[in-house]
Amino acid sequence: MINLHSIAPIRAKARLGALMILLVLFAMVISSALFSTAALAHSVFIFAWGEGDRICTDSYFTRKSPVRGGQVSIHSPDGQLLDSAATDDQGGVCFSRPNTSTDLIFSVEAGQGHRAEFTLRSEDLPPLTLLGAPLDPEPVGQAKSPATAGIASVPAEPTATDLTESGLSPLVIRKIVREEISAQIGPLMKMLTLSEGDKTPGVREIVGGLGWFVGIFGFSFWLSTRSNRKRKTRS
Amino acid sequence: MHISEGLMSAPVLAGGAALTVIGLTIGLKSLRSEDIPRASILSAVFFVASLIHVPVGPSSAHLVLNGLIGTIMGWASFPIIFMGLLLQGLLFNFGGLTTLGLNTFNMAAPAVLVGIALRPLVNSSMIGIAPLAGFLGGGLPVFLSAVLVALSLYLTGEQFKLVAVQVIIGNFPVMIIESIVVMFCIKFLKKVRPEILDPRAAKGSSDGALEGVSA
Repeated sequence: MINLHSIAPIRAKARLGALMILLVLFAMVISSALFSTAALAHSVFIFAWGEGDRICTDSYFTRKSPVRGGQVSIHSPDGQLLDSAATDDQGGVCFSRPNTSTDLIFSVEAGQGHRAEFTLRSEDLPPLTLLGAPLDPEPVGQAKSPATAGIASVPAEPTATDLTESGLSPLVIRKIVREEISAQIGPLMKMLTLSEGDKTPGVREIVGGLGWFVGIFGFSFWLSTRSNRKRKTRS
Repeated sequence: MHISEGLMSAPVLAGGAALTVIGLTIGLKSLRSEDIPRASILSAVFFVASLIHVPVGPSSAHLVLNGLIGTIMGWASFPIIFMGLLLQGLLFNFGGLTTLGLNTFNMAAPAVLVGIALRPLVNSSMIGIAPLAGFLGGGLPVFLSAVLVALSLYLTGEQFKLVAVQVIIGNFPVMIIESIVVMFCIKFLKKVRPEILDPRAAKGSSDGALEGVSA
């Protein structure tokens, strides 16, 4: 940049141009690498995962800037609105599990035309029948008999017999265990979902994109010299 | 500024795409082989600039730099911004392929309009006029693009008033930043390589011709 005045303008023009291109690209790669470590990106993402009998979502522009107060809606695949709520300050919002076994489509509206979708496949959620067991009278009966039979036939483990003797039915125990497990697994499910689907651009995408520009630049230059040559041969 | 996929109605998308095709045709015709290096660099700059975030309230805005492109390149802004948006859509998931036409129009049209309108001011030899033109040329296109985004949303059916205010307020800091950035760019270019901005200054040299753009 310092030598811009002193360089002989016409002769060195081509070299100067190339140098400037290289400089600018280099500066951009450096700065974009710096910025991307701060995870600066511009797009909206939403993710959802099952936590026991709830489904939780997380929406963000970048990992560090959550969508605050964005409207999250759940739709069934046939477009029926099942539930909706606004995100909290961390970009999260949880819903009680809709009573369907289909896939669920989550969308977030973050204002200014920002919108994202996420499909939670039904096979990624624990089956409804399992969750419904304690509440639903019919599965309860089915579940009860093998469980009590098991307890009766196995030479009772002290704790198990203690609990049944203390009046806690196996169903209550199952409910407690389930809640305990979902509390433990919830954060893990969140981590898994986020890491699986994270699409915020990194250095790889940025450098790759700049490479495309270099390629397109070369190609269009080649095209233009080719048409110049044609013109020359004609004249 | 980037409108995501699955939000807009088909007529709005089609309208934006049609206008962009017209803009691209004029832009590519105005693009001479001398302009290609500058166009590529500006396209790459546009591509990366969107990663630089300005947090605003609940949402977040990012640099657009369409003013810089419009002030320097005029009609060629259409292909430049189109390429930038295409790669942002493919690599960053910003915007999307179905909204590419509309987004290109929303960002390139104000750039072209303001760029061409301010050309006489940019080329003025009076002290202080060119940087002022740069200041306006940096901020105005951002503002007009925000208005176009709001209008697109309105045409699709979202509440115009609320969204328009959201988009414009959201991009206000960006407007200020880009006004200043472009002001200094113009000042610098005018001093160091005036032929980039003014075709008359480039007479006799093969570089920096902008005749096709301003015509």
